[in-house]
Amino acid sequence: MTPSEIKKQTVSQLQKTFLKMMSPEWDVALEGKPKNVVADAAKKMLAVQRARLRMENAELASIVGKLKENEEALREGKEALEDSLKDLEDVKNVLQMTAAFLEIVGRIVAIVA
Amino acid sequence: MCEHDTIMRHLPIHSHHLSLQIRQSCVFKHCLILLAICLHISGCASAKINQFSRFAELGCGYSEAVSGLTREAGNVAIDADSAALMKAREPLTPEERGETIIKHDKLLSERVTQLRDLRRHTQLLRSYFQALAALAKSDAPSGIGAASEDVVKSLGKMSDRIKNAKVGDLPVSEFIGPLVKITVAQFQSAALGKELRVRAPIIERELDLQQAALQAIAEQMRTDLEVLQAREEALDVVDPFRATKDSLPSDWTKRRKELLNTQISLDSVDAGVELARNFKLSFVSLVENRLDLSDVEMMFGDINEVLTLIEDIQGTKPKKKK
Repeated sequence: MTPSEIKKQTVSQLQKTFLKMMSPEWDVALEGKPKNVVADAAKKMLAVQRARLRMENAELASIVGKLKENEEALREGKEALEDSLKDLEDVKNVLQMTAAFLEIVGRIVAIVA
Repeated sequence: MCEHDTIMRHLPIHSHHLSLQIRQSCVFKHCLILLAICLHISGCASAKINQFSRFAELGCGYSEAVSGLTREAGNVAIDADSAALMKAREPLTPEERGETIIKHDKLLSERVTQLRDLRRHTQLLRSYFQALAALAKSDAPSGIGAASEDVVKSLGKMSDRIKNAKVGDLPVSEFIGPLVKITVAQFQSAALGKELRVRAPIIERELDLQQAALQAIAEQMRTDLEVLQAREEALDVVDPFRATKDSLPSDWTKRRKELLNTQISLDSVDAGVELARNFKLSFVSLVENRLDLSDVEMMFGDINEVLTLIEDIQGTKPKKKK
């Protein structure tokens, strides 16, 4: 079993244990037990929850860290797309300005001729 | 073979006059064929741009769904932990309570920060897809085509040669617009294709990681939701029934029915994982030029499922109880 599989199975086991200790069945099982047993069970349940949170956090942190490595490339891609769009818009604007300029030149030519 | 030779062999008419007419007819035909080819190319480019456009919309929808899901994952994690703390509080000493709440708050702050980082990252992914959509949906090709026609018309006002120039029977300006639009659409399609090819390995890795993140979040959420449902059942149904009191709360039957009927389907927690998996497959299909738009429409169904899950979670959040 690989280390990541061991981690996965441990997280899964902690999740199941926490769920079990939060169930109505567990409450019924503790009914009538001595106070120290109930207190111990409560502490153990919280310890399982903390272990679970710690391991889940570590798993998420590892994935989020790897995702962050992609951020520069995503920004570059976004800029490249925006540049292409800007090129298209520039062509449109230049042509529109040229057409307007030629209109004026046409009127001047008509007056001068 | 052009019609010219055939007609000349069979009709006894003035050859010079006929030759000019037929030559013009041949030019016109070539122009029509050229235009037909251009329109076909334009059709291919438009279909491709449409694929990019739908995929980009899908990407934006995906990012929205993931952002909503991560927000609810954080809320559900806090609620489940609060339920655990409330359940365990009574037998703990005040000192133990203090130590416990500090430890749990720290762990949950870490979780919320990670989910926020993931959400911020997903917003970056969203802005990438928005840029993709902006280029795919840009009306610049038609704008450039219209502006080119304006230039030709303006030139025509100054020069009779341009004004009267024709291709076949049609003035030059009739051809300029469509041809420019086709060329620009090709540029648009090529720019989108190039971008995705260049960034394909990164986006693929990104979507693999997103899938892994959503898988982890789904498992965490499943546990948290099950815990919340279990606590509601214990507090509202099981505990009152077990109590030594003779009578049950007046709304006990109603509450029991509500709880048993309104439980969130835990299968739907996997909707986000399925969405991420299908989204990656769509991306690969797009890059390999075999994206089926009907699959894209189905994926909008996956997005809706995630959004329904978020609404369900928001709608069935338990009221804080001791």
